[in-house]
Amino acid sequence: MSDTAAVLTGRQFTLIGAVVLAAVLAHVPHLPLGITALVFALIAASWLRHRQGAAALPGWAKLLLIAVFALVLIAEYRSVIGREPGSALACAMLASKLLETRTRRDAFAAICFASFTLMSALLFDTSLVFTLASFVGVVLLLTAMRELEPQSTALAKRAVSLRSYLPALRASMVSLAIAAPLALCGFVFIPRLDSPLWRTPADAGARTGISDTMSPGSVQNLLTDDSAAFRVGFDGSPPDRAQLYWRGPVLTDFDGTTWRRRETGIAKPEQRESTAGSGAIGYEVTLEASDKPWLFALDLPVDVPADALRGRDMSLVRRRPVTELFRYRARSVLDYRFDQSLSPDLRRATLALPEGFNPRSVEQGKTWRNELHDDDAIIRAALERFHNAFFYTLSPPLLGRNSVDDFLFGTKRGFCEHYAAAFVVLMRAAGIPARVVTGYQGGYFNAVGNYLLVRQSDAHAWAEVWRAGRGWIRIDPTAAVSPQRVELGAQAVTFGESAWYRSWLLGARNRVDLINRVWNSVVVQFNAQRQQSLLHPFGIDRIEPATLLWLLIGASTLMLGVATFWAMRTARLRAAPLDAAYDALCTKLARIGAPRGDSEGPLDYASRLRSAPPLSDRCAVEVQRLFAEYVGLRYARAFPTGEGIAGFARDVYRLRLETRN
Amino acid sequence: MRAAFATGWSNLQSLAERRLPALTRLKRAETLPILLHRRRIYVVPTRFGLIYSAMLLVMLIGSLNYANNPALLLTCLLGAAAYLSVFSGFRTLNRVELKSIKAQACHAGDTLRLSLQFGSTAPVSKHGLRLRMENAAATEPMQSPLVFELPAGEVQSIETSLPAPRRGWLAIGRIRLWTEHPYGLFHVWSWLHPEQSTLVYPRIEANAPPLPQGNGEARAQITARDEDEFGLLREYRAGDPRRLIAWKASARQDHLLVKQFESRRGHEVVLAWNRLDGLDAEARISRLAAWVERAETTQTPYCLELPQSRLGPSLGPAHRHACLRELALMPEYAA
Repeated sequence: MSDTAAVLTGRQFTLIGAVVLAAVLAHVPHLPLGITALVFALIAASWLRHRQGAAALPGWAKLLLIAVFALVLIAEYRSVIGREPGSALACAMLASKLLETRTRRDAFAAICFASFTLMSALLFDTSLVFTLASFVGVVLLLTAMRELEPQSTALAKRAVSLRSYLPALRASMVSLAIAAPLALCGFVFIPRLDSPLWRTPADAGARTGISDTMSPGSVQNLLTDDSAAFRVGFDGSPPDRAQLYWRGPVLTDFDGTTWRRRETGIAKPEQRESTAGSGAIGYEVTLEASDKPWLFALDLPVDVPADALRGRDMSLVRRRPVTELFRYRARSVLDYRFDQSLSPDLRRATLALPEGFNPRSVEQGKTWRNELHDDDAIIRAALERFHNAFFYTLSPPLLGRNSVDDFLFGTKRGFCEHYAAAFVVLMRAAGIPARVVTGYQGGYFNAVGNYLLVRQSDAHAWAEVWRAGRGWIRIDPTAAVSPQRVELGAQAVTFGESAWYRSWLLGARNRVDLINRVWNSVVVQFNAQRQQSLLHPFGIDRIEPATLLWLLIGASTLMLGVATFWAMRTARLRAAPLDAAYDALCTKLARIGAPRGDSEGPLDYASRLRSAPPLSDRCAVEVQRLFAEYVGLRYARAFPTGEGIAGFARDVYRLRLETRN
Repeated sequence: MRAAFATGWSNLQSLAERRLPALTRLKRAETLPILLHRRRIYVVPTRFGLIYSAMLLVMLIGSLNYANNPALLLTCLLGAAAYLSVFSGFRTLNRVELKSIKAQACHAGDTLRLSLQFGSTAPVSKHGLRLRMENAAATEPMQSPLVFELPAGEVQSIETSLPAPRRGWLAIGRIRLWTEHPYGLFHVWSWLHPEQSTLVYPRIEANAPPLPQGNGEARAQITARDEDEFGLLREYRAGDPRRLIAWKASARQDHLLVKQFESRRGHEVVLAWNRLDGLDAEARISRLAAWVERAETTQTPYCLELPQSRLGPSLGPAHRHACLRELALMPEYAA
C-alpha cells in the first residue's frame, strides 16, 4: 500500500502521542525514577519535534538512544530479562518509537507496541481500578487506529479541538461494547495453563508485607499501607475481634538489632496441640500476592492447606512464594496447648540473648527473677510496667544501639514491634523462654459481603512465652498499653495522629472493598482449576482443555454468526418515495374505475384520463397537474430534490377524487 | 529469486482471473447503476492486520503464561474489537451504489474530468471509502486514491479524472472501490466496471493557420455586433463553452443561462478534408478540429466536409459536437 508512507496529520500524531502516554503512565508505579524521567523527556521531545515538522531521525541518533537505554537499564536492574527490566525496556522503546514517528507506517508500529505495553502493565497490578484505567488506554488505542484511516480532505481539515475527537471516541466505545460478548467468551473458554511456559528469575519483586525479619521500623511502613493483605470468608460466624490473631512468621533469633526466623523443620506429631472445649473454626483465605511464602492462619492452625507446610513453630509456609492471588482453606482452634515439653535446642534458642546489648533490661529481668520467683508474677510485672508508663504511637523517637534499653528506660513510646521485642528480651533475661510472633491482628468485617478484610496496616507483632506444663502462651504486650489497638484496630489507635480525612476515606474504602473481592474471586482468581470446574453446576465435574477449545470454537462461531447476520441483513428495500407516491396516485384512480394499464406510461395514462374523464372538472385539472408534476420530477432531472418529492407526495395524499355524475 | 517470485505471482493472478472472473478484472462491464452487495465484496487482512494479530497472539501467550486474567481480558477485548471490525468494514461498502457517471467533453491529450455519483441504500453514513480509477492507475501508478464519505441518504458527487491520450471512444474502465475502515486491519474491496464510454474529441492543432477564405467578412460582422444582439437564452448544459454564459442574465436567475446565437447563412466557411493535401490523416483531423473550435469562437457558420460525409453549414454547440464527433470517430489511419 503506497499510502502507508503518508505523513501523519496533527490530529493523528496527537492521538498516537496520547496512546503512548497512556501506555507509559500505566507503568509509572513500578518504573524507577530515572527511566520515568527519560521516557517522559522522550515523549516531550517527540511532541516538540512534530510541532516543528522536523525531518526523520538520523540513524546515528537512533543508535545513540539505544545505547543510552541499554546503559540506564543495566545500571538500574543489572539485567534486561524479567518482568521489571522487560517492561522498562518496552516503555523506553515505545517512547523512542514515538520520537521517530512520522508516517502512517510508523504509527502502526507504535500502535502494536503500545498494545503490548498496555497489556504488560497489568502484570504488575491486577486490581479492578487499574484494569478499568487500562481500558481507557484501549479506547484511546482504538480511537487512534480509527483516526489513522485516511479521511476526505474536508474531515481532515477540521480544527484540532477536543470536541472533534468525540465522534471517534464514541465510535470506539461502541465497538468495544459490541466486542465485549465475544471477548468474554474468549476469556471464559481460552484454556488456562496449569503451569507457566517460562518463568523469569527476577519475577519475585519487592512487595510490602510481613517479612521473616524484624528490625526497628520495619513494621512501620506496613502500618501506613492501606492495601489489602488478605480476605477471609468464615464458614460460620467470625470469632471476636480480640481473638483475631493471624499467625505469621515466628521470630526467635535476636542479634541485638534484628529478629530473625529460625528454621525449625516440620511440626511433629508429639507436639500436637490439644484443644480444650471449643471446636475448630473453618475459613477460606484469599491472600494477595506478597512474593513471600508465608501464609497466615488464625492462631492456631490445626490443619495444613494444600501446597503448604506447617513448621514446628506452628506457622504456615507455602512451598513457593505467593506471586499471584492464592486461595487456601484452613481450620484453627482458638483455645489451644502445644509444645507442652520443650526440646533442649529450642529452650536454648528461646532463652538466648546477644552479649553486650541492652544491659539494663537484662539486669531488670534478673532482678524480677530474684525478687518474684514465680513466672506468672514476672509476666504480670512486665505488663504492669507497660501499662503504667508507656504510650502507643506510630511515630516513636529514634532508638540507639541498645534499642530495648532506650525504649524501656528512655523514650517509652512505640508500637507493637517495640513492645513485643522489649517484652521478649525481659522474659528471656528472667529465664522464661519467649519469642516474637508476627502477623496481623483484627481486620474489617464487611457485613454485606460477609467476609473479613485484613489490610497491611493491620500488621502486628506479639510475644509468646513458654510455661512448663502449659506450653506456649500468647501474650500481647501492646494490648497492655493500648487495649484499643486490639479491640478496635490499628486505625482507631492512630486516628489522632493522621489527617482527618483518612478515617472517612478508610470507611468508604472498607465498604467499596466488596467490589474488589468480587473482582478478585470472579476474574483474577479464574485459574485452570476453576475453569475446569466451570460446568460443575450442570453435573460435569471436569472439562478437559480440548473440550474447552471446542466450547470456545462453538461459542465464538455462534457470536460471529450473529454478527454476520447483523452485517448482511438488508432492511426491506422501500420503494423510492417518488415511486411510492405515484403508485398511491394510480391506486386512487383505480379505485374510481380508471386503473392504469400495464403498458401505460404516465403521459399516455394522463391523456387517456383527459379524453375520457370519469372525474369531475375540478378534479380532472388537479389530476393533470399532478401527472405533469410527476413527469417533471421523474424525467426532467437526474436527481429530483427532496422537497419536490415531498410536495408531490403530500398533494397525492390530500387528493380527494370526485367522479362525474 | 525476486524475478521468480514475480513470475509466480503473475501466474497465480492469471489463474485466479480465469477461475474467478467475478473477483478479478475480467468481470464483465455492467450497466449503471451498480449496487454493491455481499456477493461482490471481498475481504482480506491488511499487512498491518496480520502484524497486529501476531502481536495479539504474543499478548495472549504472555498473559496466559503469567496466569494474569486482567491482561487476558484486555487481550480478548482488543482481539474481539479487531476481529469484529471486519463487519464494520463490510457494512461500509455494502449497498453503496454507483448511480451515474458524468463526463465533461475533452480533447485528446487533455485530462477527462469525470463526476461519479455515489449513493447508498443503507440508512447509515459511510466513512473512509477510497476509490481509484484503474485505467488511470495503469498510466500513473503512483496516483493516490480519492477518499470520501457518504452521508446517509445523500448522493455524493466524486470528481476524478482520466487521462485521454487518444481520440474516439474512451472506456471509463474499472473502478476499484475499497475501505479499511474502521481500524485499518481489513481490506474490504470491490470492482466497479461500468459499461460506459465517453467520447474524446480529436487533439487540437496548436498554432493552426487561420480559417480558410470567407472568414474575413464574417469576423468584421462579429466585431461590429452589439453584445445584446444574441437571439435567445437557454439553460446551461454541461459542456457549454464558458464564454457563452450570460453572466448578467444568470445573476437574475438561480441557474446559469447561455447565449444562443442564430446562425448566419451566407457567411459560412467550408472546412474540407480534401483541401488539406500534404498533411497526414491525424494532422488533418487535428487541423479541422482546431478550425471548428475557432469558427465557434468567432461565431462563424461553418461546414465540415469529410470523405464520407458533409455536415452543416451551421453554428452552435450541437453542430460543434456533431463535427467533433465525426472527426473523433474517423477510422484510424496508419501513421
